[in-house]
Amino acid sequence: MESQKRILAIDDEEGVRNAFILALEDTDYTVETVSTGEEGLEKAAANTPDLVFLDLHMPGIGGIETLYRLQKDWPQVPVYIVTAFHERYFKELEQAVADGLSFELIRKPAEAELICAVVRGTLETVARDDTP
Amino acid sequence: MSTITRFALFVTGNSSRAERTTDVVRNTLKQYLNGSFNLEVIDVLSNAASAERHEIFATPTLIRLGPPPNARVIGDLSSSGSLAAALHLRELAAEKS
Repeated sequence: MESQKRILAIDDEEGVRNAFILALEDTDYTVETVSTGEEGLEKAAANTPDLVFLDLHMPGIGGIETLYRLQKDWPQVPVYIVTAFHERYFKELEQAVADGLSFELIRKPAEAELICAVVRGTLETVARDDTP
Repeated sequence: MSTITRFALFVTGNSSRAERTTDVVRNTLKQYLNGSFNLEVIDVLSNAASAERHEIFATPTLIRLGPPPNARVIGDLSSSGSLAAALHLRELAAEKS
């Protein structure tokens, strides 16, 4: 059963944040959005999310630093980096992989159908992984 | 004559999560197709051009490249049953038996 799983979307673009809300509004998932990495970490500390969508480039501590902090404190929470699929962005992420961080990618801008597929797939996978 | 079915799996990096996904996919293909498949595992981070060419929108993504019907599965690659249905593996296995 997938009731009330919590999804946290961290992105400084209002349009992107709204895309996640609209994509998941008819599901049983709870969606919270914030516009900075700092706010995202505060939200996670207050109530651990089940899945995080994280923008790569934001004002403040930015996506990479937010990713490091998320995985340090909540290594079990899957993170999708929301980014354009371009080599110059991937270079930044290769270092994170080399440092042992684990994440998936979703291309920006992400359409509702893709967001739903990723959320269902990831959270159902986590549920299965948790099954004894 | 046995036809090799080609698949491409797009993952992010070489994390334990990516390795687990690769294992599930490979084992599922072995289960249904024995040795008559080719699976190429592609790290999107070091192959952005390949991801672009195959219109990859998220990882992990598994594509059946051919022979037809072509198909793709995005996000949840952890269930052998779901993979088999999405990639028409049962039909392929029946053809080969």
